Amino acid sequence: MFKDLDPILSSPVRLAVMSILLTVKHAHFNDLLKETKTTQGNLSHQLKKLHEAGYIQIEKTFKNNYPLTIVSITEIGTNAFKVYVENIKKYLHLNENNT
Amino acid sequence: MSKNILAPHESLAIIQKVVSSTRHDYHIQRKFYVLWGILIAVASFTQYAILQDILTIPWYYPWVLFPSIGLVLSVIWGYAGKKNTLSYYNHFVLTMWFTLYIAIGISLYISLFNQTSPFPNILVCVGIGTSISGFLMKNRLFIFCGLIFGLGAIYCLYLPFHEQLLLNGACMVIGNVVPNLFSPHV
Repeated sequence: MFKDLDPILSSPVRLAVMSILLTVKHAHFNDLLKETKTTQGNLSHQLKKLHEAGYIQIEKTFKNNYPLTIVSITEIGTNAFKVYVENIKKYLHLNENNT
Repeated sequence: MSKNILAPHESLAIIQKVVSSTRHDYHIQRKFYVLWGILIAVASFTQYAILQDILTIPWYYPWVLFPSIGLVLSVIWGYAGKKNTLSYYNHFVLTMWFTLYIAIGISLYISLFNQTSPFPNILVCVGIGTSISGFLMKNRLFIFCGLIFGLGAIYCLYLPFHEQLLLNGACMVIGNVVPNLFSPHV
């Protein structure tokens, strides 16, 4: 239906995660969980898909003996997001002057 | 959030909603500013005590001891802070203060070399950092505190050295420590 739109980003949670990551240098898993209002399992699954696509970097470490996941957007992810937004604009017939 | 494939207008709505609602003040490291404010103030007051013969230690001890404590704690806290969400705003503010503290260190060295007072330069550096932070946060208290530092730097020029120490310490407490402890926006 929307064949030019990146299927990786055409999911609410993945798109929300990418939108958040664009505004931060890196994000904590729990902060992403709060912002996306999804479940831990679903977020892990969506992060895995974004990671497989090369859109995000995932660093697993420990803080006070608890596992900690730090996520950041990659250059590929940033470019994919830009293209995605441009394609949305095309579909919605938006241009720079009326957005 | 549902798992459906999004239509373009839904995508745009999600992007707009997330970007506007995402917190931009993630884990602001106010403890860095409080720490350095206290350390510089304590170093100033300690040197004043030395000059007044209240303490009998070499005059430069406070300026070696307290900044060293600050440096060690900043490295430890900086490493720990890396494990939190960091917004670009905070990244910029932390980088700016890091650069200004280097400027303060160089300024101290130049002043020692030339045997002049470093305090006007220190107050100008801290004032610039505080004002820029205030403008970024849209926090008038910090903009005002930046001005206090600027006025303090000028007033320093008319004071003898030992009184400059007191003024520097007081400016650090009033313009840096107090607003960082009590302002809800920092």
